[in-house]
Amino acid sequence: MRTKTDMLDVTSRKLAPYVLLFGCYLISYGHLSPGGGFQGGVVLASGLILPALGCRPQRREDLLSNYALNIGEALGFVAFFLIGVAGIATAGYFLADPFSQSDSPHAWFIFILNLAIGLKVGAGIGLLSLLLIRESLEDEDG
Amino acid sequence: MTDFFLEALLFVILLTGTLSLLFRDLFVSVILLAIFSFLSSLLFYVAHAPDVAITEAAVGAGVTTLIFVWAVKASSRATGESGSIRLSLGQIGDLVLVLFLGALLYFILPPLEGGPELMRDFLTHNGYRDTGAFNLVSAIYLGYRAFDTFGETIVLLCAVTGSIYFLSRHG
Repeated sequence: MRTKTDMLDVTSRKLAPYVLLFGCYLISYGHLSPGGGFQGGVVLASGLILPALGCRPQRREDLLSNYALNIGEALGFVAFFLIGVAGIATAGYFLADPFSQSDSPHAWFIFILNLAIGLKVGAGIGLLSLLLIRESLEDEDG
Repeated sequence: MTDFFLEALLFVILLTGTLSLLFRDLFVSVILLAIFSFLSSLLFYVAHAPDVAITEAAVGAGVTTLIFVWAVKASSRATGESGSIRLSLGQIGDLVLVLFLGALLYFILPPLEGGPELMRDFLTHNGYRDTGAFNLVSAIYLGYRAFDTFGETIVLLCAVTGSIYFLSRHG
């Protein structure tokens, strides 16, 4: 099969951290500027896929582990659920804002939910895409 | 200037969409669909919807293209036998039908002016005070409608879990 050139290898490795950083920015500033958990999560996922597509196989293995992505997705969902349960305990109904007692408006609730959704979407979409391309990647390596 | 840009953008979007249906090589169609998604995200950005533009660029032009390329690679690459463009009588019929429906909608639907004002005014006045988010899209989907978002994450969880199950059984 075709081998991956140096240019592709270097470009994908150098570009991926910036894509991941942009994803984190979109998630953590979702309450102030355009972005949010879903958008940032998908950008995170594309930052994970980029080295998997471009890097040489021996470098890919230690970058990404399916198990960690699996845990990340479950953790994101559990975090969302626990925040909802915390709403029952503090304000009386599911997914109520637990911080809403203070006077000045603040976005802690939305910020934390964005983090949970970003983790969940990024890990989920990343895992799905990595599983999809794994088969063709193994063809290429062998 | 903006109107001309918008109309040119809409025309090119229409053109790429139509061409992606016509090409026989499915890889060409997939790349044309990626261009289609990218231009759509540009359109959303011009229409002051940057959140949707980011989603369209990341999902439509990024992840969906990857999945389509995988699907084309896993199946047979070209449809039919000869020629690079396929154009059958049924396709021309579909095209006429779509154009007819578009013309019908153009005459039936009222001209778009602004949108629902009551909701817009309510959100601009109360959105920040109720949820603390300057970005009103976040204020809606995590502040006012957080329960719907919870359901959406369950849907995504089910989709990813099911796909992982079938993929791991297959491979």
